[in-house]
Amino acid sequence: MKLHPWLAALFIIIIGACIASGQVATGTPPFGSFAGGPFDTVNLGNLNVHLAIPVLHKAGRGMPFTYDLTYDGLVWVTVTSSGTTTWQPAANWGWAGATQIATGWVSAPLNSVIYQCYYLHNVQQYTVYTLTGANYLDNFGSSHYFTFNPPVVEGGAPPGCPGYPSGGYKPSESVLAPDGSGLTLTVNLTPEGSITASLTTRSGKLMNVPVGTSGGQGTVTDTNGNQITINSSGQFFDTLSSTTPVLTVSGSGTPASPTEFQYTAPSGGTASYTMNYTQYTVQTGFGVSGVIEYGRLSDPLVGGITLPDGTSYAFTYEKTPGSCTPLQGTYQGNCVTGRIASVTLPTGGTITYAYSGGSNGIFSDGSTAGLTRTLNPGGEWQYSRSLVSGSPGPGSTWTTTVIDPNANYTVINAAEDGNTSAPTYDFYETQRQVYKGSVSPSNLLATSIRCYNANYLSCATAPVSSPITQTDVYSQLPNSSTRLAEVLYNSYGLVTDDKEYNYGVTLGAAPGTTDLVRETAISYASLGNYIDNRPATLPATHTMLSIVF
Amino acid sequence: MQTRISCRFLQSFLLIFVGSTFLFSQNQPPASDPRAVSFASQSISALASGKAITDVALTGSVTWSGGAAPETGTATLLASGKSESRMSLLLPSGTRTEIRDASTGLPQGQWIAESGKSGLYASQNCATDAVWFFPALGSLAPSSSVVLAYVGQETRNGAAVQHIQSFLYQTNLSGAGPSQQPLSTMDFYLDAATLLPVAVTFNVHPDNNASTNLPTEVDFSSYQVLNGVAVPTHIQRSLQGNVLVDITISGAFFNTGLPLSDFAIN
Repeated sequence: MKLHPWLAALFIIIIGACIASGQVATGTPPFGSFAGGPFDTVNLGNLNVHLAIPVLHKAGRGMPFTYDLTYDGLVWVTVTSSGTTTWQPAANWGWAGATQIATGWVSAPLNSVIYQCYYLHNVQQYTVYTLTGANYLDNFGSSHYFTFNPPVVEGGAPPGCPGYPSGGYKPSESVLAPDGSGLTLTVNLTPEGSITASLTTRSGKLMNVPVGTSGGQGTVTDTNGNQITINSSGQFFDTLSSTTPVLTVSGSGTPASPTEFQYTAPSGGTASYTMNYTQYTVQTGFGVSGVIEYGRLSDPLVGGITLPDGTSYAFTYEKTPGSCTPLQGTYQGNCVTGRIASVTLPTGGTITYAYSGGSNGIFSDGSTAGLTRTLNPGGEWQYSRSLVSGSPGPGSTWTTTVIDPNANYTVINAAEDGNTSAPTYDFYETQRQVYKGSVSPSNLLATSIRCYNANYLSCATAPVSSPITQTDVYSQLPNSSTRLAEVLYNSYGLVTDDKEYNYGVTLGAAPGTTDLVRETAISYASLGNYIDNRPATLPATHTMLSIVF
Repeated sequence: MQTRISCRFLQSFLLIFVGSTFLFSQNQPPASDPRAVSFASQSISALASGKAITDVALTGSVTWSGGAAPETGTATLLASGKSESRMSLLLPSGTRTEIRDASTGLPQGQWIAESGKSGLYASQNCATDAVWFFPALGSLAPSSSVVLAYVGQETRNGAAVQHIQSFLYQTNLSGAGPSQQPLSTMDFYLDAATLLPVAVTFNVHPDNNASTNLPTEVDFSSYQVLNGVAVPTHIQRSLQGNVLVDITISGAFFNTGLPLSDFAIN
């Protein structure tokens, strides 16, 4: 007699629809184009505003301890649930979390499916978990998207029951980021749906990072075993200080419990940065068709950061478009959208941000449509985006027009990564035209055109898909004389070949060797242990021609 | 040979018996807090007035704000037992329908938009009470798989409430014992004086991401006794603070024998 304990599978729910939610690239992703400064950085692809406020930079053994508070202004993305699409705020309203600043953190969209199986005369239910991708937000706030194909699967289904994968469970996976950052993510999934994650950099540094939260425990270990560790109490240690914290972060991030960043000052006393919060009524009010508004909800937003010397940064937020009555117990002046409206620097200077275009300044993927950035002192910068092809999201192409305080125009064409199977959501500049004054052929000072991955046709408006293996940057003078820099990258985003071509190259086809003036080739040693960035030989440089002007 | 077969059969039987006993003992969820059980029981009594409710049909008017623009229309809310529910909103742009069904043993859900477009609920959005609009048929009612915790007395919108939290425990065939299902967590706020539910909060999740929470709240007010049962005649369901469904109940009918076909998912 042969018993088959997994006798019958009864019913299965398969939720096959994987609806793409809006995602945005934050931080300063590889191959991106940025402007702004000196305090803030503007991503010219999606107009994300990135800020960094230094707290502590301390020399260490092997690894210095660097701790900067970072902020990214694209705080809204769309998510879809049961046929309803709504706005979802970024973690910490754009501010990097306490542990993230040292290690980064992983956001993993776990999918769960409940099954049942007839087992030992009982119908039992269980859950099978699937992870198709993850987003690693690094310590600078940059997002790195990873895709698991086939997905990571683990759960409570025994062999023979519904939900048990035909090839068995795959509870862990290591994937190299497609964005050229050289990061490798390793995830492990338990039958109960818990996830652990670690990252390795192309220099071999290992980071055990929190999952689902930007705080909590984490470690960074370099190739020599030097460590930075963060415990669950918010204490940071480096290799030189295993008992006395280098930095201690406390507070719950509310008006009543501001976040304190404490360290030992050179004087031996305690120095402290304090991140203060204001309770706001947050309501989006963007009016994007098909997207349900967020709020009204009471949320604590960062109102200011006080430095050890008593000076401070102050932050205000955009007023909610339309009518909105603030909730009791929140700032009563107005409701806010959560998008940053101004920063006042410790020196007294200010930067204000006003949003325009699109639908109240936003597109359906959460990217900014138009931004007026006023520096005082410094003048007004205007950035406006318009869609060239596609719809906001992967594969779309755009122009961003920048007007400087002296009314000089720069027009930039950019393409959002068109890789839909492993999207990075990064933008790639394809053309830049710099004008003295307004947009006019007679005012054109210079043009640069970027081709990617050996596609030489219509590069200015062509779609671009990651991974980036090659860039060809054509620099064109007003008289159409053109030179070229061609760079090849390996899968870790490292330069393997750099070719410089003299004026005389033509667009639309691969360059020949006629105008090649210099080539630098680099190969990398295969050392294992995720150490991939050590050149194996001295760069081989060949100068073909002296350039004489 | 026959002896060997019998022995093997006996061994298999014993293995199954011991395994079943082991699994049974392993799969016992923790006990509910007696205070929570008491408040929940009193709340059910306050709602049903001792009447055993097997199904409910509520009718009224609705303002639906989940579409391109707010619309008003009529609402029909049906429930059978604790696991079947259907909300139908008859609107100028079409009918919005949301169904929850566990007649097969597995919790499922389906939404049908005004345009006719439809889809299944993601599994992570089927772990909370199917009958979200009538708490007497929710987690407050006795159940072996629901664990109730007592959070305490609080003030909510200026009024005193008793706060109870519920969550499901799920067996685990891998033998690791029962595990709490965080996706099933619901918070009930009972009027401290009458113990009638004034609000229920829980999280829904994006279709492709069980890790992201979208706070959802159902508010009950203007209780009236209709056909012997205390019925909240004003029900509001909000998603992330935005009221999407605002229903005024004008009719309530109980134990009419609603067929399961009303809750069929296609």
